Amino acid sequence: MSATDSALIARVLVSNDHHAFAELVRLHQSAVRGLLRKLTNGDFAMADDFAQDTFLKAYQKIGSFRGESAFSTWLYRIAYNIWRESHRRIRETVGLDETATANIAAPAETDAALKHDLNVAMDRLSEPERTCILMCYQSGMTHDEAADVLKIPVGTVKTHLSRGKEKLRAFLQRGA
Amino acid sequence: MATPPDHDRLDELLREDLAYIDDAGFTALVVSRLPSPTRINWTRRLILGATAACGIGVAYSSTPTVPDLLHSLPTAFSVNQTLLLEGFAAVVALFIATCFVVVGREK
Repeated sequence: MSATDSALIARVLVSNDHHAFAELVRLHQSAVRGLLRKLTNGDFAMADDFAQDTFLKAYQKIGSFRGESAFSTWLYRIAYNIWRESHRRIRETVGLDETATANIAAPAETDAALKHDLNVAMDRLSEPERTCILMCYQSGMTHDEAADVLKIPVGTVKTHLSRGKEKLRAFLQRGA
Repeated sequence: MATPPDHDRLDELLREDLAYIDDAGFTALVVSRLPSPTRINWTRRLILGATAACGIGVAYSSTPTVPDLLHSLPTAFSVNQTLLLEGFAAVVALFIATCFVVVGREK
């Protein structure tokens, strides 16, 4: 945990300092919103709602932060749990996964097309594989951090990453 | 469909979206939704203070040795100044500790 984070957390804990908490939000908003944007398949509005809930929950629970992991990892865990809970509820009621890939526009040529195909392929991965790839590649977390957030062993993270990447390559090859 | 990427290119593509997201009022929105800091409960403090004062009064009046002890204190303090300072420090420490307990319970 950085010295800045710990000093700001101490100020929030001791005197409910809103300015200190605002500084924490400013420092970590990009990473948390980035992760949630990816988890929500680019739904920026929903991602920002989840991000707000994440920081509000972090403020309420900041007393339970033990400093065993980085503050950012702790925030990622809250964000991931909020997204997972909402995702589970939506899936139970609407069957989101079946419709998620149905309304994707036709791909264009070149690099943009490759990115498009990759996004489509990402949606076809299992949830743990997709989440591990999002966290480790697209949010820049280490394997240890991802394991900490997802509460699974590091070896399992590596397995999901490896299988996920193999599946992505296979999907992209099949589509080509 | 585009040509499938090799391993390195796939890694590159997966890592491409690490751009910084501009705050654009997000922090202000979060801060506006934070609960306001807990107000000091003066009624509770008053009741606790009054109860404590009553308790001290009852203890003082019902213990026969306390008045004798208090009468002998000025003499002891005039002889030994260090004892006076130590006694004062102990009272201050006790007061601070009590404040921490009272404030801590309110949170």
